[in-house]
Amino acid sequence: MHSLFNCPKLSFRKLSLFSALIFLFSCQSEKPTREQLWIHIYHTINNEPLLINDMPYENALGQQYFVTDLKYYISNLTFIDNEEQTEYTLNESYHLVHVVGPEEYLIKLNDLPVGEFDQIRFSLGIDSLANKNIDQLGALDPANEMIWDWETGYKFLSFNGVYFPEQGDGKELIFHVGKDENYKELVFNLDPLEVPVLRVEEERYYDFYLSAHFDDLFKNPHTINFRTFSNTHDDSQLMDNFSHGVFTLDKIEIR
Amino acid sequence: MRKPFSGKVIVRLFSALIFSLIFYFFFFTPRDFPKEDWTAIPSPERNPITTPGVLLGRKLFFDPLLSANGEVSCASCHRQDLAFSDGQSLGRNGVSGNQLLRNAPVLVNLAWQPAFFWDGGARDLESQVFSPLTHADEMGKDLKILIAELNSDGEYTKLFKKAFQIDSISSAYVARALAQFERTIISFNSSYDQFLKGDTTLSDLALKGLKLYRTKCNSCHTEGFFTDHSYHNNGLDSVFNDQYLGEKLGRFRISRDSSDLGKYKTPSLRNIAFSGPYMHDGRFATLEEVLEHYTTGVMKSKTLDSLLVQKDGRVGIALSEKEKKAIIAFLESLTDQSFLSNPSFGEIEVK
Ligand code: HEC
Ligand code: HEC
Repeated sequence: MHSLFNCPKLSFRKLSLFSALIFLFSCQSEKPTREQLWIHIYHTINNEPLLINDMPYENALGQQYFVTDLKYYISNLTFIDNEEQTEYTLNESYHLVHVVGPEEYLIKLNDLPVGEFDQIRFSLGIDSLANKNIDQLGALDPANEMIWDWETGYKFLSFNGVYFPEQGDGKELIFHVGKDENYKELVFNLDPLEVPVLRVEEERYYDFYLSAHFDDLFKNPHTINFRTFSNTHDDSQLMDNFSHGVFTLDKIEIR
Repeated sequence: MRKPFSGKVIVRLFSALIFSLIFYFFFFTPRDFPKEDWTAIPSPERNPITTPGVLLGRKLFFDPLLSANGEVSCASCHRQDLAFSDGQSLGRNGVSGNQLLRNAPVLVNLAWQPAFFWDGGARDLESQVFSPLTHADEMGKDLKILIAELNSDGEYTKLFKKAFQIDSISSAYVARALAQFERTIISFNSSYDQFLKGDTTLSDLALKGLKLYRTKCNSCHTEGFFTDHSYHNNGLDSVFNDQYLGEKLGRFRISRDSSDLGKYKTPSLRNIAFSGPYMHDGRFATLEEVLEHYTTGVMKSKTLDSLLVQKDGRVGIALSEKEKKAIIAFLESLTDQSFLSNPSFGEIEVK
């Protein structure tokens, strides 16, 4: 029979581990439990959650396709105060979004500027300064496989898929877009939201909820025909579409 | 108040200055260059050259750990005895064994080169490293695996810490170390250089070749680096098709400017006798074939360089057989034996 008393040494260890854990938790509850800002991104196609390698979607021309891999960069998150005509861009703000399933994608950030803001801006892609060389760290580490092997620079958007024509075999869709001229800034007015003016204070927590409607990537404003166009590395039409209807800022929550 | 300097003192100071200048230039010849004073070699601010960095880069350059199958290193395609080229027209030394689409160029005086690859697609040496590392027909390495392997190697973690003061290796530092070593691969001590300094003489044939060279070749392969660091169409082809991934389109592939179709980087001609086969696709095996191209093989196209069109409208460079021989004799004087056998560019055990 095992009894606690048979093994006083172990139980002492257990006890100390337990108290250490309690200590840890009690410490943590005083500190912030999370980063100051979480950006939640929901990816959809035709108003359904975007699934990887799962089901065929239909583009505006009725062409069927699969998504096999989807990655892109969001960068330079900026808080804008039009009244004071000031803006504040977060430091080292490069974020790689890798869509792997229907769950929301979370970007977690700290060091928000304190103040009142009526617009939020972020960019799709990497600004020309950071796009000059690729021996970089974090989101820009080449190990993230967002680089080309023949030309220096980052892929801003890496969309891989398969197009199924009515007849014949499936055809790979390789839409890898980069190049400085395709860097796009997106500005979101806060006035249609419940918080037309966002007050950022220390010790408060913020949640931005974004949707990314990827069907727009192939239709708004340029209609993409997979039969004639399935491979690119610098296409400005795709990047136009990416920066048009794809992203919406739906809600901001403050705690 | 102190007395102003007398004229005599000024003369003495002046002659001392002249003397020390002469002394400096006499002893500080490119032969000694760069010693351990790396400041003479240009490098980007984010990656200054240091001795531990160079040694680490040199170790990495020869290490097949950097390839998917553990058999291919940078040196597999860039051999010192061939001025860091590979001796093949289109090599098959990569992990897949597939034939590459471009000739492996020499690696020489790279610190002064503004862009890399035959079309200038890589903007600096650090960024260039990732191409051979990840290309399926070169080293095909998964960078995440490489970084895990390096971080679990006690020797490498020590060397990276020494070179960059980091506790955890990331791919950027692999690139920086390699770039530091590559910047030290310098050749300025050929017979031609020694001749310019008055240390040696060249044969009459080579001297005749030098004269011809200066009128016929120097505007592109400019003395000093023996390249103008620019892009030209030297008449190899008349049509440029995109059969592969654009490798045949020249600089156009990068600039997307139709006036760049068929233009390639002017290669340096230093150590040219050791770096054949020649041109971006290695189509010529010998220097004789190269000169035959310039005299009789130049093809017309919209982007053909105007220097290769003669006054009467004929294309190519007019050279007699004798003149071709003279130019080749001169090109051979660009061989730098001390470079080809310099022990500081060889494989190294650093601990
Ligand atoms: C399988 C053969 C192969 C391997 C391995 C290889 N290279 Fe190369 N290298 C080439 C070829 C081919 C080119 C020319 C490519 C082009 O211009 O498109 C080249 C070009 C270069 C250049 C550009 C030189 C210039 O003047 O433009 C540099 C620098 C270079 N390689 C360094 C390296 C380094 C560092 C490594 C190891 C990490 C390496 N190479 C591994 C074949 C190879
Ligand atoms: C209009 C500029 C221009 C002129 C003039 C010119 N070259 Fe070139 N040369 C080039 C370019 C550009 C290349 C590379 C072309 C390619 O690979 O597509 C080259 C390649 C070469 C190569 C091959 C180098 C290598 O590493 O593969 C040799 C050798 C050469 N030239 C020698 C000469 C000689 C000798 C002359 C004078 C008779 C000459 N060139 C005149 C631009 C020029």
